[in-house]
Amino acid sequence: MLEAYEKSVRELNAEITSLGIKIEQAIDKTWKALETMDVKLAEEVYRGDDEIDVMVKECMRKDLTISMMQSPVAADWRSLMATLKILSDLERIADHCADISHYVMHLEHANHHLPIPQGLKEMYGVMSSMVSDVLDFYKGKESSQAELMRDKDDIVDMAFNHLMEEISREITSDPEHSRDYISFVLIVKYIERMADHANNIAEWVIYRDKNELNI
Amino acid sequence: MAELTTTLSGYGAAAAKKEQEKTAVREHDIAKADPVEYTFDVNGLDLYYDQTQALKDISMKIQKNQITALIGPSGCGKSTFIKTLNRMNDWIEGCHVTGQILFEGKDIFKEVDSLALRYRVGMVFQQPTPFPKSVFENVAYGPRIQGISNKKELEEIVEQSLRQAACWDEMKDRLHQSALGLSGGQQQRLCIARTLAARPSVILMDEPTSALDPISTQKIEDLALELKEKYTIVIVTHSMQQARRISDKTAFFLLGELLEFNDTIEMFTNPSNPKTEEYITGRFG
Repeated sequence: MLEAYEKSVRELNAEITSLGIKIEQAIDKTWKALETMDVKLAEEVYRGDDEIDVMVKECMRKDLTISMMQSPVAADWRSLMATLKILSDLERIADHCADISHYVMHLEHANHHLPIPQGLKEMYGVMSSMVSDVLDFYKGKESSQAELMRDKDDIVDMAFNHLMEEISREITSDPEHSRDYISFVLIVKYIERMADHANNIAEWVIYRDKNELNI
Repeated sequence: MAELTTTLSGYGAAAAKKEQEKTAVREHDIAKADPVEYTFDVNGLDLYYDQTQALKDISMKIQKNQITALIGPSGCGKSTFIKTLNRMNDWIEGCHVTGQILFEGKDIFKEVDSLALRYRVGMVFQQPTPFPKSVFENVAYGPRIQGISNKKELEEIVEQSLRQAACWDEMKDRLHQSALGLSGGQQQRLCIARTLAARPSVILMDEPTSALDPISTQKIEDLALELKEKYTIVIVTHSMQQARRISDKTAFFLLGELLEFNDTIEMFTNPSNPKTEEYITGRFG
């Protein structure tokens, strides 16, 4: 029974590792698409979200099956519950890659080539490093550092506020392109939400490891 | 400005009054709250079978109207412990006990007669143990021994006990048929009814469902949850799921020691002892 349980969990973790790699690739490609206004790459990310959804669903199905078949308790139970929540957050992060890619396509079709707002690259970089970190924490690497994610999330929130002011100024000085600037507002919001989801993942890792619920 | 100051000080006084009232309500609630009542208070209990020590320095308080589950691998001392609570170990040659068990405030080894104790602390065993008598006589057996001979009174006790054990509807038409003709699950509930007829305040259950099918098990579990309103229940179980489903507190025994005693929810989500975690997650035992 225990052997079967541990085998199932190993299989689930292997699938989540593959899923994590896919999502990190999507995050990298999304930035490249945004920075270079590469519509082809944006379309690839946009379409790739369906594949990620299928992987998430499969991981969830496995997680629920283990819970049902093995009736785990204590740390085993916390781990499966946390994984289920983490999968939802990962799925949302991937959705936001697709959302950003959608707006990249929209901006490129508008053909205005507005410059990327100052500070957006740095904000995206912090968010991207948060996702990488929490995927490592999930795998058990230095999960004691998971609490530091709150600080990084605060940095992303500060960048969000700064960018909102920056874009507002641009809209005021260049009202002709206000619709396109609104696309950037949404992109900034998606990045802020991705950081929130990464922070949620860190909180679920803390719950799994320490039984502390801070969500 | 003066008006504003007056208004603000008025708000301040009102707020202070409200806070005073809140404090008074809280103090009233504290005074009114029932203190926690313990059916058993076990202190430094050691039990030996000749030279072999089976229980080591057990201390725990078993709360009234709760279900306390005793878990642990075979040979850990949980059945020995439950049998000590109504002194059934008295019958085992070479068994001796040190330490103290207070039952409703009285020392069961010094202040309580063992027979009287067993009326108040009933027991249900792993295998159903109906007497080879009718359903009625099984339930009436205890009250008869206690001196009740009035037929009407006995009938009332039998009906009430069978109802409490959720088997009146099934057995009311076969009261005078042999109890040995009942199914295993019915026999076990009959044994619970027989225990209840003696008017106990505690029901000890030693793996009461391990010989039963899932439906009969569920009926016994539902019954235990109903009975805890009136009785204190201590149950030995090898089923982690059963302990989780029905108990309020869980005690984990290992090699004669009580390693952890905690709220069941806490025990099964975040056990404090690594050995408990290993046991309940199936990593040993």
